[in-house]
Amino acid sequence: MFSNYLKIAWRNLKRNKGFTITNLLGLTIGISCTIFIFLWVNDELTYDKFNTKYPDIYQVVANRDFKNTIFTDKNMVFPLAKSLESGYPQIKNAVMTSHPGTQLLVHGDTKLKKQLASISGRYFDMFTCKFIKGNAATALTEPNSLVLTQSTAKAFFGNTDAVNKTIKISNQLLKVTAVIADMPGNSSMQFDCLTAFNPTDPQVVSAMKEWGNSSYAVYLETVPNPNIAQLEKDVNKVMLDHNHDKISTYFMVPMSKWHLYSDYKDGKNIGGPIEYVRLFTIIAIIILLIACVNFMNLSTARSEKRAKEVGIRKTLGSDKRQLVIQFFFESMLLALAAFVLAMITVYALLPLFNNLVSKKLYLNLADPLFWIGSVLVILFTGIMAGSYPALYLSSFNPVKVLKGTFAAGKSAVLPRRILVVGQFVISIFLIASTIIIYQQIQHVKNRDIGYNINNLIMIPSTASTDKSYASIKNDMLKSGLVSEVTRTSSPITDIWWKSPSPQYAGMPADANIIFSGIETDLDFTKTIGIKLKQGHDFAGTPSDTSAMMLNQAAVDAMHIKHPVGMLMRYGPKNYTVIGVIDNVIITSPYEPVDPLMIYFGKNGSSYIDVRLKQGVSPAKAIAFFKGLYATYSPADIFDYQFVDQEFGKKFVAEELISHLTNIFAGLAIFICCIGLAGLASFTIEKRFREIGIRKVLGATVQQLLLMIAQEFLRLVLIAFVIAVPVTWWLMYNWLQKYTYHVNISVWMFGSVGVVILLLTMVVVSLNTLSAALANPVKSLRSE
Amino acid sequence: MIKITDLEKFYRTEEVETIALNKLTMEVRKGEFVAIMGPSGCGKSTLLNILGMLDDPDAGSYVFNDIEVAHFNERKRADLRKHNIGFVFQSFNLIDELTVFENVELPLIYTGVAAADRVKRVEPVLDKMQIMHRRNHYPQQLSGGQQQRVAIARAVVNNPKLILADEPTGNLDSSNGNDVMELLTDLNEQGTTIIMVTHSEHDARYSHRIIRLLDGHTVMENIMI
Repeated sequence: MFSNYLKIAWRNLKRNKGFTITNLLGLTIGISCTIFIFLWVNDELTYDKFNTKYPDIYQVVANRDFKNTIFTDKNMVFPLAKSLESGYPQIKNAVMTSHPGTQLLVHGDTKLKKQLASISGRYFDMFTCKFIKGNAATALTEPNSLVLTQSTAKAFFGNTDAVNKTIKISNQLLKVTAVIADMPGNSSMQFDCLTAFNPTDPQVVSAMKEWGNSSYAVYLETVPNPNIAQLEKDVNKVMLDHNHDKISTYFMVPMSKWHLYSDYKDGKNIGGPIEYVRLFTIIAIIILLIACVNFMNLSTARSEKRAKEVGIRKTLGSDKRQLVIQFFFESMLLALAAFVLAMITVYALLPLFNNLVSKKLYLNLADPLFWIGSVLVILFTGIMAGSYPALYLSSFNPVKVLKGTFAAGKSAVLPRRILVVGQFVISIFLIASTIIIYQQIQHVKNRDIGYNINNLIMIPSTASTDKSYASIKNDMLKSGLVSEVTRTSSPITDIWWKSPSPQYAGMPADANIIFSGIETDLDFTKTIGIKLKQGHDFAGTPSDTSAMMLNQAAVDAMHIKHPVGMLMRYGPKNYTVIGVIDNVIITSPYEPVDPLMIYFGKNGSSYIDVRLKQGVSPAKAIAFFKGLYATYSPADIFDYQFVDQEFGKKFVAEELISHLTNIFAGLAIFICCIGLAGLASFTIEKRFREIGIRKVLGATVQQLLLMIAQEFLRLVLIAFVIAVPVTWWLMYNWLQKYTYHVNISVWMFGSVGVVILLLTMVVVSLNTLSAALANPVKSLRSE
Repeated sequence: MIKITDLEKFYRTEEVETIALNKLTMEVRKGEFVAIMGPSGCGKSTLLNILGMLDDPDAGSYVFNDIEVAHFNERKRADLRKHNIGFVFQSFNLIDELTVFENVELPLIYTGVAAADRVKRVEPVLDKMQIMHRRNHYPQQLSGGQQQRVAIARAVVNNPKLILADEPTGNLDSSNGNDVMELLTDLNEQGTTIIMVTHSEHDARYSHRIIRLLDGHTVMENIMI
């Protein structure tokens, strides 16, 4: 029986090449997209899951309430982990880590910048690391031990054994005790090397008593299914007992939520990457469905051809069930073939896709989950695509079919039209939302940043460059390559310091302004290119240390009419406001500019900011700076960032979404179009005789094209009417995420409508033209 | 073998109700060769479809081999049909995607005959119909007479007790038509009951008995000598 099904299916597919190619192409694209999205989604969903203690690991996080504005903060005080280690039956292990920071590692002539994190005692008991050399128990027991990841070890020592070799980090000699496998890409913990906090180090000893300064991450391993409320109560009590801080509430975040639910607003979780996981899962299903709809439409459209076969089989004793199975067999066969082609496609395009999403995804053929997923995709595709045709075709009445009184395909016209409308609704939605996402990104990109991001270079400071800053600045200015130089406590593209408002005269009791802060040296406004709206920049006089600049947003938030000259009390010191700068976008370009205060800092900095002269080649300037660095800070590696590139990184997430929706929308529309082309050619086949008669009676080619196209254009119009409100509603809600967003325009929808109409006309006309141009004698003689 | 009593069948459209069969009563005994004749629209084909269990009557009784089948559902009818009845159509109705051999084999597949046995049963039939040399050809590669011989081979391969033929020579020239009628007569002589709808008085003469229908009921029966 099955060999007969297979035979019929195979010959049918071979005979109807147009039908087969159209469906195979659509389904292959659909399944390829599904596999790509599956790989991406799977990578996201398995974040951190390689940790064997995954279900029992929590991070301690605080909501810090700055008078109505709540910040969610993962930074904890140094002694917290130690205090939780014992005395709490629910807690099996408590670990603290520093934030990985860039450090210069030196071994002989090899100098490399690597991410180093310091960790406390039983880190390896909690987090899973694969030891290649050395072991977890002894790796960090000795002071000044260093654990390297495999790639770091290789970078320093090649293929020789790294263990017992030494590496110098900020003038301290550390001994490599172990080598571990590189962290997987989907791990929240990312670093190149690890060292332990040295309990005898005087700095660590004093930090153990510091209950006010939060800058470490704290993780807990609990007993299975702990009472979270009790745990949180315990942590809050420990903190309150020691620092009497009333603005902070501590809570536990399970490892499963670290990555996927990472966004907080006003102290509440508002999702995170999980939203894109959901979005792309839906898109994958939609694309696959569009391809399935093609199969349904084309199968029912050509059912006249199959009707006779159904009739004969029924006469010979086949019952409906056997026919249903037979037709499913065909769709399954096609789905299977499409799957094989999709696998080849995915293999070929995976490097490109990885590049696009910045991941290292690969097809793990040894993973049973992959095969279960594949079988599910094939079954889903085969059943979805085959369901309607199978039920429809198998229900034919053999008497009518064989008598020829049955107009096969007629009763399927309405469902087919509904399916085509559905496809167009999705296409219009995808095109319109792609345009809106693009417009939103352009809108934000074109926003006035407030300073000139071009020709501006940031060079990370070191202790040595800070010491010789005056000479460096002087050398730079003398070189003729540079027009201005300043230095700042944080990069010009980020805020590292936030605090409640300083005190000022006339401050309302319930004022809840949060200020961003930055320390700068002389020539800040000139170097960065910021417009001074009132007053002046730091003057290079001793009074600078008690002076402060504000931005316009701060002045607006404080409701101050004459800011210059007013006093601000911050901590123990009074500052005089000397100038007001224009609003400058430092953090999110999607949000309004936050109030900013600018202090004068003379002693330390994080970056030297350099404005190149107009027309100077950046490469030449960089080479010059590298030379300066070698002179003034020879122990360190020279590094630099272009401000425009750093600023561009703020669009990475949105641009990724934009690229992906572009691609997926394009593919969805392509699948729709080939389906449409298939349907059009079937319509023409059926109406070939009619076209001939009309031509004999005097119809022009244009009239004929229009006649055929009309049928489809009507469907497009219906789809348009449905798609517009749906798209508007969904995209309106998406845009609300951004305070600074574009408005959806009516014209955009209008142009999408025109594009879709034209596309339909073109696709249908191309398929109709040959019939319309054919000599009518041909079609009329065939009867 | 077949006994129908007061059989009725109506075709309804929104405005008109057409009576296709009007309280028709008839009987066909085992081993008979019966021709059904009548003008277009007299209900011949409707009767044949009901006899072949492709269609069900609106009223009346249809007893096939002592079993009342008038109320059978599609599944049961299909089951009874595939074991007992073979069909021959005017337009042959072969499946274009299957070869001659595969077309003839099809009824055996539906009755669950093993593949090796199928070959053993199909080949003698093809031989008998003189189309063995065409076994791997597709229907569109054959002449009309050859196609009808394939259709007859398919109808008899399952050794049905009854063959229903709907104008089996309608699409054939007289020489090929006569060949087909000879084949049917042979089958009848070997014991198969045959009911044939035809317009041709010539073909009808091959039968034992002619039932003439008009407006859905029997008007005359001629016994052939």
